[in-house]
Amino acid sequence: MAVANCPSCGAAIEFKIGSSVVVVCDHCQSVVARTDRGFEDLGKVAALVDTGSPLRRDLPGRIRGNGFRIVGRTQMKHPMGGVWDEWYAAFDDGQWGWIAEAQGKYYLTVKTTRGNLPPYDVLAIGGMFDEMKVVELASATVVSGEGEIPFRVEPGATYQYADLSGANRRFGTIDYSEDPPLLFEGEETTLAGLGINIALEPGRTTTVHVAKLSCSQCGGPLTLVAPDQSERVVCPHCGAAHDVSAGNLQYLKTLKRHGPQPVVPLGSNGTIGGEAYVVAGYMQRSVTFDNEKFYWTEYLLFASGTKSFAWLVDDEDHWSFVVPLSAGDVEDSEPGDAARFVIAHQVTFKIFQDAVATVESVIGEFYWKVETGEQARAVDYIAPPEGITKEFADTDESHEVSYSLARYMPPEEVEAAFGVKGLARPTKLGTLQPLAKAGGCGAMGAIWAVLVIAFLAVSLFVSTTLPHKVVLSEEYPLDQFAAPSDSTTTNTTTTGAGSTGADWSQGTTSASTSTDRWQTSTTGTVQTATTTSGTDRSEANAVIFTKPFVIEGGHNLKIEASTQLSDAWLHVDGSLFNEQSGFVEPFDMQLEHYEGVEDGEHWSEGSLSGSKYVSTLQPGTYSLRLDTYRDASKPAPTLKVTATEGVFPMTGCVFLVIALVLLTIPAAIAGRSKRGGSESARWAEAMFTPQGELNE
Amino acid sequence: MGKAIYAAFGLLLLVGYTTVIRRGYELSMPGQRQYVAGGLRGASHGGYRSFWYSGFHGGK
Repeated sequence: MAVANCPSCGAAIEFKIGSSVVVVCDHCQSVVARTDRGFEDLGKVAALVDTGSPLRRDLPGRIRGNGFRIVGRTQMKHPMGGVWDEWYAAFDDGQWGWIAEAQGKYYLTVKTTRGNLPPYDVLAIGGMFDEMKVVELASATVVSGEGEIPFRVEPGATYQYADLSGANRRFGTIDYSEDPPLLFEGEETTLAGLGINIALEPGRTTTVHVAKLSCSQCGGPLTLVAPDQSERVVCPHCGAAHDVSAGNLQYLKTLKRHGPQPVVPLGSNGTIGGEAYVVAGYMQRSVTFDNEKFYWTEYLLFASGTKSFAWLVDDEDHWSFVVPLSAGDVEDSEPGDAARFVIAHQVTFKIFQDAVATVESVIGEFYWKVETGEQARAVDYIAPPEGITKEFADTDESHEVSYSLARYMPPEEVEAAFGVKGLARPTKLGTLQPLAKAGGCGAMGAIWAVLVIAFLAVSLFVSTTLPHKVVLSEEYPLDQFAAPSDSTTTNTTTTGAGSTGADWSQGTTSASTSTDRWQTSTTGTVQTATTTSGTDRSEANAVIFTKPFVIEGGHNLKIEASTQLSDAWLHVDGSLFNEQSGFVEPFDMQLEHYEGVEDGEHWSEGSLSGSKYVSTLQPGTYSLRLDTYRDASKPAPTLKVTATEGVFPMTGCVFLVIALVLLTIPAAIAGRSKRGGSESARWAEAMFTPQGELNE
Repeated sequence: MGKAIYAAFGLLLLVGYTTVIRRGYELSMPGQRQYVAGGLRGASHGGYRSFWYSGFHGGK
């Protein structure tokens, strides 16, 4: 350890590390370098800005078994505003490590001996170097420092650098402060990764202090939730924009357009993913397509625990939570432009939009010098419920590409996270809104499923428990009936016993042409049919009265007729009647069959069977009157007639279809509303097709 | 509320459907169901059976 007196103030200064080059005097902030000629005063640095960093000098750490101790730091200023810390870690093995800290992230790098590094001017954002992506080209200005520093640092010196990001959190910086430039390489890590447990550090706290200030223009209260991080604050009351410097406000100008007010108020506290956030700022941004502006709003969230920032985005009442994403974690084939897709965490994100986003209005505090009218090219990729936005921020002094990962948040989740109520619900599918999976249509879907199952169960149960009782099954050979002949009148009276054994009488019959009696005996009953032949020479007409049959009632009746025909027809004008009550219900059936060959192809048409359903009947004895007409030139067929009581009604089938449609429509509408639409509807709003082609 | 109305509507349909298929109601025919007046049957030539020979024409 070397001890000396500060050349400026005379206070004692110590070079504890043999390889340190510079010490910043704790008393006068003079930068003292040790040279082969002695100690040299390089000038004073400004007082340290309280960045709220949890790190401090003499803090021990360990990474991969190699212990270190933090011995100094510099504070660097970015051309876009913002100050970050670079801490210097002296490892037990004599190496130096650089720990850069920015917005809650830590980057540990060590100096490499790699030569032939590319000149700053030939690098481009998105370009590759040593399998790492160039994510930022900018300059840094030394504004302050403390402790021991392993290189010669001059207060106010500005140097260019290129930040590189690779896979697996690999990180690098090409430092152009020296010639030839230096490559520092390492990794993005966390406090835990650095072996630093702040909780074990006595007297340390990660609680950020809140600055309560007043607007310089309207006097309204301004509460800065991240005064150490903020570069700009815009008064939510009057729109006055202020630069923030170490918690002090400097009025810049009053923004003309105030824009909408946040629905989650500034200063609101909320918890997302176990991390506590406070709403620090709010801005409205827009993109323009076909001379039409599309707006959305963004809330800047500050996590005091990790000193990091995140975003809450409200796009047409669809919310998403956005966190920075390391460029190295994104497989992007065109990092300097817009590839059709990017891959992150084994998920492929398809390009959705590529547009220039403009800041329309802004209130609250921000960690950069935000301006209305500020523009950045933003390329959105989606894989609902997540999305990646690649944003290019270019100024004269810096060029940067950054990636962020968005996760869809239903409004209910936002309300729960920030304790707000009454957030508007979206009316159409959001860009990142996930579609509900099959069976995930919610309560309506569940009710629909239960009802459909109930309908099917009832159908099955009733159809198997219906009587299906055959009350009539007879065959009537029509050739048994006389062909049309001279007009005579014959009266006949027939009596017998019905199928149930009850006596019945058909009474007197009359026919206009001729009358035949057809009798047969079946299971001890007598059936009688009386026929009459038509006068039309081309038609043969016969009227058949079936034997009476008993209906128990309370069910329907299915009447079926069938025959065997070839190139002929048989028309049946039928009536079901109850002799006692006079009830009559007419029906008709057309039985026909034609076939032939035309152009070498066989064809056939018509049906040799038909059926009619008669609605539920009263108990009683019924008969059928069957008035048959057929082609007289064709052989007389046999007509088979069957009547079955208690069958599944035809109307039931129609009812079932209508009921299912009526039940499905509202469920589908509800499901669609819950799903929010379809993939095609989502991509209809996109600038690109799912295949990455420009949408026409 | 909407779900309750939907469920009630579904149950109503289910009850109606069960009744229809259990009782065998048909939509197409009841409207045509008629009764032949006893007087008309008695007045027919040859008794009511003659009425049937010419078929039923709704009493016309």
